[in-house]
Amino acid sequence: MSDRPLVYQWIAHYNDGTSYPQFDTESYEENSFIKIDKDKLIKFGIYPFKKDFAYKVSKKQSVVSLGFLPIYEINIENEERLIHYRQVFISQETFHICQKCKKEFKFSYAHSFKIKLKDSKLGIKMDEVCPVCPHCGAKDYYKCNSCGKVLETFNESSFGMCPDCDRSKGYLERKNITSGSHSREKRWIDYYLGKQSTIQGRNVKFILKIKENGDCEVL
Amino acid sequence: MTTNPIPIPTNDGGLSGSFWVTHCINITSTPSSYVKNLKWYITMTSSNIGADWNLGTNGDLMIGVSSAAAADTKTWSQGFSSSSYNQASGTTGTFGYFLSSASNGHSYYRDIASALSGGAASTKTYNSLANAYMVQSGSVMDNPGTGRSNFIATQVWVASGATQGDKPDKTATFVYSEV
Repeated sequence: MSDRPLVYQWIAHYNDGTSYPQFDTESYEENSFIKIDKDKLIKFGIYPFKKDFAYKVSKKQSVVSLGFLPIYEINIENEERLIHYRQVFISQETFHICQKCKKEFKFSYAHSFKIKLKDSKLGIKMDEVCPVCPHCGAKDYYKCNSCGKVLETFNESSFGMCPDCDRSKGYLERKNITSGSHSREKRWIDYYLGKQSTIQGRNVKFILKIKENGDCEVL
Repeated sequence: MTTNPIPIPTNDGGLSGSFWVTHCINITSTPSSYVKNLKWYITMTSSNIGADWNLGTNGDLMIGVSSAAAADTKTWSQGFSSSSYNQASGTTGTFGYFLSSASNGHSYYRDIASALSGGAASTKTYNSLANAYMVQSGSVMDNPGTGRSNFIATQVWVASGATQGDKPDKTATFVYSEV
């Protein structure tokens, strides 16, 4: 279901020497996990795709990708029960891009400056927080559209007019260098593989979490 | 938010809500077996998003909840189905109705008398996968099937003393299990 390409496929190995793969080797269609014959299951593993097979599976419906990844297998013995699932993450994240150095950064108040504002309508003083690029130190500034004078903050001016120009002209224009956030979606999959059994009335589990880069963690 | 920013209340203790925002995942191809346990969480660097974003005292990012106990919001389904969808409303450019408002709130949450905090709780405890908010527990979609998951509704509360301008970047994540 996930649009994130799979880097691993599962194969269930049976006690009669046959196997039941996630993707059929003839039709390349995806097989159902819940149809694994648990009575015959002696080994279960997740395996990276081979080039030709990945191409043929991707042409069908499921998008898969290649990688130099380790294989993970577990033996299933006696009353042990298989644990396997994928955890799919879909993130929406915001970020900033510095228009000066063109580098991306995450905005935090540790890299920011405040502009003191006075709201003439409400008659109160307010702060506006603006990002500072952590890579090059750039930030938004104000520029006179008449003489080109640069002001660091709006407060240095009078009612948004350039202090060096005639009041009928010389409006200050804000140059957005670091303000304004962007958003994007990220997806990734963690693969879980393990087994469980009941020992003296207690359920005991062993689970591995395997990341897309092949790194593994015992939970 | 750029077109209709939320005005910062000027009276002490004042609180304004954004229009609430509804999110879900749309499953467009059938899972090979099933999709289940859809959760949601958001990154934060301090005690809550309100502090991260300087939203003032009691300012925060809120989310609709249907359980009575905070711990249950991480175990039992808190999202609502499409039949309970409510269009966000309020006064454009001024405020949105609070999710938990008895008169104008989201009908799915305000009508559950026992719901935590009247149906809208801070997102502060949903800050990691281990502490994720449970959108839809159990089966979300079985094979064969496509369609939308349950929905969540979030809303920003802006309080007096909030600062305007850009806010620190955040990442909100949906996560589900599938085979």
